[in-house]
Amino acid sequence: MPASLVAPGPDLDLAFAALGDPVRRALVTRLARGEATVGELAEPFDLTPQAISHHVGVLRRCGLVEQRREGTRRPCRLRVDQLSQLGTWIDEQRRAWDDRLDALERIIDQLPPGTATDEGVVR
Amino acid sequence: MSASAELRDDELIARRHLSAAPERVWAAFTSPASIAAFWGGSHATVPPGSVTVDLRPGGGFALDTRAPDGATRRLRFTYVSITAPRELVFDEPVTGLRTTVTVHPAGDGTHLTVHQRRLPPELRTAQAAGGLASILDALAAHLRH
Repeated sequence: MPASLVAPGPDLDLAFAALGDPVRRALVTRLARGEATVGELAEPFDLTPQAISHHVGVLRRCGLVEQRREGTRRPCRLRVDQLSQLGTWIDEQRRAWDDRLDALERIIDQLPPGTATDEGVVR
Repeated sequence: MSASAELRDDELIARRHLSAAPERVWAAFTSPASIAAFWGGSHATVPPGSVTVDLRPGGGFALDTRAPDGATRRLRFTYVSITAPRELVFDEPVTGLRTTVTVHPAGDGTHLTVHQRRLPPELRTAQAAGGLASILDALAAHLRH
């Protein structure tokens, strides 16, 4: 399938934007090993619990993380179903490009050699 | 901001060794006839007459893909940066996908990589509007000739 026929929905947009941040990716990696509170999440980072709390909020709003109340604790849990949706989308992109590059490989020798013009970095 | 710094956190989608010189691979990605020949892969055909290429930043390329059941879909991309014959960066305004194709000489051929990332939604809206305008401009210019 051409790459462009596979467009993620609106919450995938938010999720991809959320994962554009290295701290949030590290939090997701940590939560993949099991639940943790904001305090526990903050430990390995040089960040305040408030900063971690902000990142958790972003991950919660895009549906990648949920947080529940357990007495005084508020553990965070990774929503693996949501994360695997992202993975599926990326896999579909990979398949589409693999298919396209297979086709390129088949025709490349029949193409005109092409003239490279060194335009430099335009932007 | 350089494209490479901006794209540091993106996703490696494909990597391939091709037994052709980088210039040839570059030409394949930037000439209408060869885009038509491979863009649809094995799942769709691209009518050669449907491909337009306006190779400059802010310009773009567009093509029709035709599925086996005859369903036709127009795809439009906007060039972000063009560094011949090394790196081609283009956005798809409709999906907010930024694709970077890099081409490096490797042995007797070329090493090609494809990276993709999603643009933030607020940027996508502006991009979609700008993309559409530049595509219409390109079409108008094309029709005048």
